[in-house]
Amino acid sequence: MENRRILNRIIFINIANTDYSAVEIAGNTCFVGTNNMGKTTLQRAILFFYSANTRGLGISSSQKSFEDYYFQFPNSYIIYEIATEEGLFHVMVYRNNKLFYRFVESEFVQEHYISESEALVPKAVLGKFNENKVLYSDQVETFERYRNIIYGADPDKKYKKFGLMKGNANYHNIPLAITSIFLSSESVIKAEFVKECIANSISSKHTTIELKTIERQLRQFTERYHDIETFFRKENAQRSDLIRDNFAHIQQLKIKQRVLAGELGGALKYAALQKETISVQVHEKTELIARLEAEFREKDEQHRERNKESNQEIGALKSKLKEADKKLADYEDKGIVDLLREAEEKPQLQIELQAREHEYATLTAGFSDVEQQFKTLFDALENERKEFEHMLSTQGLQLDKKYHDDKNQLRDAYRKEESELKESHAANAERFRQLKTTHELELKDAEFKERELRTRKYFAQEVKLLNGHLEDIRVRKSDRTSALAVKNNTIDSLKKEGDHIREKNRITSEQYIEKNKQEVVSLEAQIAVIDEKLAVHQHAFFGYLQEHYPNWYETIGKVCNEEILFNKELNPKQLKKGIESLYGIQLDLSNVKVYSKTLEEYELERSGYRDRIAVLNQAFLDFREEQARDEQAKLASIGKKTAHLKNEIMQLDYEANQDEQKEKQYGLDLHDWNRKAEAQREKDLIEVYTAQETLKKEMATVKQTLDELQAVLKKELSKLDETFNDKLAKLTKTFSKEAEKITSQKEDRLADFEERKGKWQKEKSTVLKKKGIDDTRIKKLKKEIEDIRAALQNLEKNAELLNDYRKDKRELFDKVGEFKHEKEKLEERIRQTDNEFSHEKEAYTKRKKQLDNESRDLSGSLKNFVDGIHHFEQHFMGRTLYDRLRHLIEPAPAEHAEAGIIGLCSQLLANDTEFHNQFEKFRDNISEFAGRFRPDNHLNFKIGGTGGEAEYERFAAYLQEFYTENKIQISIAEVAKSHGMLIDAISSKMKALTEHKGRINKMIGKMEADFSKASFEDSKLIEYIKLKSEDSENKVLRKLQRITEFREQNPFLYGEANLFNTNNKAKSEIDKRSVELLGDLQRTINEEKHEEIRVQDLFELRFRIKEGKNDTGWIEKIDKVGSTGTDMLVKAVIYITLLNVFIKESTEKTARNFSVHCIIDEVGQISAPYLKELINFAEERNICLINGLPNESKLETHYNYTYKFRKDSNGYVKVVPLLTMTIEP
Amino acid sequence: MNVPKQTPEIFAILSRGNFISSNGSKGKLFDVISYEENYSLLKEFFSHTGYVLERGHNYFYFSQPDEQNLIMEKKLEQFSYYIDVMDFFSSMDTKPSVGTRYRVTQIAEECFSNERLKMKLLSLSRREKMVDKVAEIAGTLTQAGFFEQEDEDTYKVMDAIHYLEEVISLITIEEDGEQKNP
Repeated sequence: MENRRILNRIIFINIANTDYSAVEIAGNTCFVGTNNMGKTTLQRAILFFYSANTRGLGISSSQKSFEDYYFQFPNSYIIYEIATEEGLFHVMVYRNNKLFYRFVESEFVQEHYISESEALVPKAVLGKFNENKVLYSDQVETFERYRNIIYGADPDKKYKKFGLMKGNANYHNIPLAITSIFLSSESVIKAEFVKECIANSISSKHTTIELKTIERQLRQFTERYHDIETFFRKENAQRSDLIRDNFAHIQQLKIKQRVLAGELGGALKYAALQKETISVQVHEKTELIARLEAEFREKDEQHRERNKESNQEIGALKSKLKEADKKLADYEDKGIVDLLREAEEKPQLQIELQAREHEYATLTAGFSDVEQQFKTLFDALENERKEFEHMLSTQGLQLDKKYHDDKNQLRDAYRKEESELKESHAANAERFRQLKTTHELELKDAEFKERELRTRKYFAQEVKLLNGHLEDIRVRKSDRTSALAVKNNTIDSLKKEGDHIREKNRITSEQYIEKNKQEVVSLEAQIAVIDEKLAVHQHAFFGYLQEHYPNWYETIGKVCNEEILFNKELNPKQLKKGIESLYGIQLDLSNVKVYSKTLEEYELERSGYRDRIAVLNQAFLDFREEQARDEQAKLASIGKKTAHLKNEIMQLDYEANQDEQKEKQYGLDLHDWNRKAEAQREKDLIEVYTAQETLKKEMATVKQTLDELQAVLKKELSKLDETFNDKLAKLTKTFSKEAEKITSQKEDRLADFEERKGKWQKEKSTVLKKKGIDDTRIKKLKKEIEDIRAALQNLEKNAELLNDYRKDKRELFDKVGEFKHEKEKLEERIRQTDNEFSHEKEAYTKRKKQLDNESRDLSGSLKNFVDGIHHFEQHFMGRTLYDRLRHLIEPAPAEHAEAGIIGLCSQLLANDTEFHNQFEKFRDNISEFAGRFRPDNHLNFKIGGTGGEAEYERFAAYLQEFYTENKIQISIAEVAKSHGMLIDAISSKMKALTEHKGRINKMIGKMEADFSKASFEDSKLIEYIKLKSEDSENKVLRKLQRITEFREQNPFLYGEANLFNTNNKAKSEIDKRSVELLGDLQRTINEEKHEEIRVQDLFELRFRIKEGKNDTGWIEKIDKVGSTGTDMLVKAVIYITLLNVFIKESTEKTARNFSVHCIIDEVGQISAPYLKELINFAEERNICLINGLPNESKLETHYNYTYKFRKDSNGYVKVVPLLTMTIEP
Repeated sequence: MNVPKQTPEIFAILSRGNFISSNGSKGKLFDVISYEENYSLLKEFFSHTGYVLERGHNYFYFSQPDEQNLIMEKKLEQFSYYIDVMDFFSSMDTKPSVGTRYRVTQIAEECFSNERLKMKLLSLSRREKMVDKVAEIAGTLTQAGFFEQEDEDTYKVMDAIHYLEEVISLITIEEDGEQKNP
């Protein structure tokens, strides 16, 4: 029965090239065998017991895997039999696809596994166990679980009994160390190897710092930092301003272009429509003018015709008057007056002639009867008187009749003329009165028009439109003002909200930091207390007890407080062993709790505190990250809202600006229209006034004319009256004169008759008295007859002339006045028609002028439209600009454009030129701006591959958005966070790493202590083996340390929200420094090309070995120490020491009651005494050596077990014990 | 004289006839030279080496007042090549303004579709493949400091391109058609 736990036996059943082998190895064991006999196979199987790792067995990748090589059959088993204080149990390892373990609570019994020389399958084996009531565990399916059980770390209590030892969390070091020693076939022991072993023994993989990751993070950070730095460069800020300005300008130009294109489209359609309408109108106007002209021509013709007749009549009258004048002059020349007077005396002459002839006949015929004679004479005289009286009365009657006839004729003529005059006047007056009425109506019209003009709203449509626009602007303005107020208020409240969030976070952060700091400080104080205790424990009572009094916790630990335990001045001395009393008094301490803590407990407590600090730090980071994220999220949301609002405000401002300009323009336009309206009103009023004036004048003229006509009528009537009266008077006078003449003639003749009667009486009386005859009388009578006859003859001669005269007088001379009057009338008519025609002509001229003007205006408009369309077709349609804007131009609805088509085309072309100029600048600015950033900068300032117009605009829009949403702040926050996290990560990783430094030093100390015991006092072969650690030379580690130190110095100041804040100089210095440190680290990582920083990089290890007279000095690797044997020995010593230290470190600090195996192959070159010493050296440390020797020699005598390997006839390897269990003294 | 610690690096770059542009990977050096009094300090410092530190628009370079005619002729020859190269790049859709990034493959593609550009490229390089031709001229400009290679395929136009532009703008064509460089 062993008094310790040890791997007692290893049994192979159908393993590799062995059918069955059982090897007892509960002590130093030596395997002897030539090469390829299975020594290493067995050693590997032993190693597998400790490591339970099929990969770490030194099987190269070209060889079969452990499972395939060892477990070739379903009934292949490796059995590990373990001896304990209580007895034996064994572990069976078998394969069912993968490897499984079962712990069996009995020693290995061959029959359980092999029946009839045939190995059983696991199921059968279990059947055997059941048969024999052998207890066995469940199938252990993982290597980890198996290791936990073997190394006593499994939490399941039922497996506790299967533990080889009571390992702690670091028990992994033991299998690792055993494996490392087995695998370390190199002849050179490098400090690196030892360092690695130390590292492996005290740390897990998680403590290594992956430099690749850090470098990647650093690169990411520095790149991002650089991006932000670039962003904040002055010239970039200026350029981004320029880009945004350019962009705004370009956008405006585009908007303007769209508006202009729309206007142009509208104007073109409008022009096309107007062209048709106006053409029709122009045509109509032309026709109207032509018609008007024709009508006027016709009227002119008629007028001429009318005048021609009158003129002809006037001509005829004129010729008549002329003829009358001429004839009258002729008649006067011919003495028509005398002739007429003589002609009037003709009847008188004829009577006179008759009387004289009768008288003469009487006188000459007889003197007989004087009585008779005288009677006849008297009768004749009486007859003559009577005849004369009768002639006179006839004459008087004729005269009277003529007088009355003439008078009547005169009156009739007068009446006729008067009525004619009146008629003519009435016609004229009527015409003028009509004219006057027309003028009066026109005047009324004009007055109405004037009134209408005074109240008329000129350009009402335009003014209404403008007023509508202005009203719209006013409405928009008030809307905008309220919207602006609301938005500004919202921005203010958002800003306040942001400030509030920041302030709240600052306060929370400060509170948290303060609390965290306090906790950390208190934990650090507690750590410091523990550190202090641990620093002094070796020299205090505690140290003494640890060293000299195992299990002191159960006794002294229950009655001593820490003050005593860590007192250095107690000078403890053990007087007697095994007495468990307090100053001679025995106490039952079973129910008393332990005051003191073990070293491990202190370390555990300290690491607990450290963990707590780490947790606090992590919590701080988490808190800050969470807070930063939260704050960023909130602020970003606020920023976005603010930016959105600002954008809207900007838009509103822009609109306000636009509206203001428009308002001004509309105001000006309105003013212009009003001015135009007033001008037009004035012009129209002036026209109306002029028309009124003209009408008034014309009316006055008409009135005057009417008055004149009245006057003329009056005058003519009075003249007519006068003429009539004159003529009547003349006629009456002539009549009176004639009557008087007749009366006087009668009186004369009557007197003459009386005188002749008297004379005749006297003569009769004389004759009667004397009777004689007187011839004188006869002669006188004869002469008188002849004179009368000559006068009558003369009258006869001029009778034709007189007849002609009388005819002419009747036809011409008497009608001269009539002719003259007729002529005047005709002339007056001509004047009137001329006057009428001139009015018509004036109206025509006026109308024609108006129509001409209208036609000219229309033609002008038409020309404008036609020219515009022509210009568009000739100079615009062919351009690419048109193709670009076609989609805007074509669908635009018809609308009048003030600027006109040509103007719009010019504006569009100018706009396009301006656009291209601006765009070129814009593109250059963007290229330069984006060019300053890395091609794949995280701010995303990149120009896409196509690089087209849209891409640059997208870039500018993104830049705009970037600024408005203040995205740089998010970026800064992210970078600051990654900066803080990087530093924290580095710092915490470094802390985790450097935490091991104490343990490293302790381990090195222990190793050194162990080495000092390996002086081989008997042979004095090795004088000493020394080990020391130095500070690491790793440059990356140094940089990491500097960062950690920096973190320590500035625990709560570095890498806060804003890395680019230049307001706080001290903080900005710290930030700068931290960024520099990170930059340095990145550079160093790139230069040094390390992949990771491990525990072993924390220190440098140096050996110093003195063997005989050979002193290696402080060296990094043990290459050759003396001869081969010595060399091997020294290395074996080092390996064993390492294993021992690891075991100590990895198991509970109780009395060591187990042994492990140290497998070192090929030890043949060590001399026997040294081997003996080595074995002893190992044995002192509860380590059994398993060595391999190629050949038998005397060396094997030093081992507890020696086995020789040989093959049987079947080719199976057999392991044969060589010696008995006796060891040479 | 307290010159900046980067002076040797600056000298090494400039004395090779290269430029230090503000938008290149050596932008930090540009900042160093531009920083406060450093320019005048370095100008004075370098004047002892026979070089004159010159400042352009966002770039620095060395000039040598006394140069042999032979070297000057070589430089002129080189310059005439640069003029052709500038002409080539200026004929592209994307003009060589500062910060512009060119990809060799992209330029080659444009040359394939633009006969005029292709002819210009043919006269500039004797390499066989279009891509190699482009890479050659881009490389030449990179060597001279007018371009900077950002990755295998991408070149960026440096601020120093202004130098080329300025010199080209100084060329006057006289009436007889002969070109003269003042």
